[in-house]
Amino acid sequence: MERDDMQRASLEAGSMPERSDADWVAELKAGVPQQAMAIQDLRVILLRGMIRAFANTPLTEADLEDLIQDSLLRIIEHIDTYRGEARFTTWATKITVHAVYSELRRMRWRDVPLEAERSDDFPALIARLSISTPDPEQRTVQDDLLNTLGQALKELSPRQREALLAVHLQGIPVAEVAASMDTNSNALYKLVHDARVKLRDTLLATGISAEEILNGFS
Amino acid sequence: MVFRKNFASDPIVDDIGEIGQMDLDALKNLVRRCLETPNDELTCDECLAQVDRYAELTLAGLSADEAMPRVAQHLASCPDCRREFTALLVALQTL
Repeated sequence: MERDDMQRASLEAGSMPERSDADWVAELKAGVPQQAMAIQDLRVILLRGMIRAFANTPLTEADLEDLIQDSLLRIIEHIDTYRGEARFTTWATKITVHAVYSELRRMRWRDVPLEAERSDDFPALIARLSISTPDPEQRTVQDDLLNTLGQALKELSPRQREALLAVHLQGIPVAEVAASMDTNSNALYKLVHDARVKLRDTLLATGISAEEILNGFS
Repeated sequence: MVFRKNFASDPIVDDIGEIGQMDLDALKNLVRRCLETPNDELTCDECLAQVDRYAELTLAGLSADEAMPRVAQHLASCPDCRREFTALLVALQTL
């Protein structure tokens, strides 16, 4: 955002009436013109926050304004779900950040086709890791751990393994992996969680402590 | 199967590594996340429902982790939610 625009937004925000959380809810649920004024004020607040939070992204101010418009509709539609556990403006900011971040993820990934790779490549990856550790003693410890880990991974279902490696090893956003696996984010996260629990139990069943296991990777 | 992707630079998600460049640290992180996984963990939606309160506690300098340990745990293990939380904190500082 240009300095002039920032000043404009700041001035506009400065001229707003002070509202309690209850005021926001009441005005956004009210008819014209009260609702229109509240929407406009909330728009200014959200724009200022989004410009700051997403300053170094490919999103333009126009993109952010569009996303804020969508979020405002969502905020009004779901206003009855606001429970007052945080300030109203915090709640509205959270909803908007989620919408902007979702768009950012879509932008980032939409032009990059997902290529499938067989999971039995994992042993090759392990082999590559082993070679990178020159100390023979440390290498033996790591090889044991990696073999255990490889075995534990084999015991996961193919979908669990696929999801776990995509999210936690390759850093692909949960939403993107979910879309690629024809499921939703919550179900995908549960799949990954179950995989982590299974791996945790398999690793700890070796009798080695968590600390020792992690030290083995140092 | 697992996914293979190429990444462009993106400051918001700059902690994402490049696919194919998996190293021991990445594997260690995976193992750490597994070892630290509790049996009951919030889903992303459940975390999102509470993260505004968690953010306010954080910005107020209060012990958000102690007050809301399950949110803290989810944020520690979910890269997507953690990035959103970071962006939320930045946005809230303009309020």
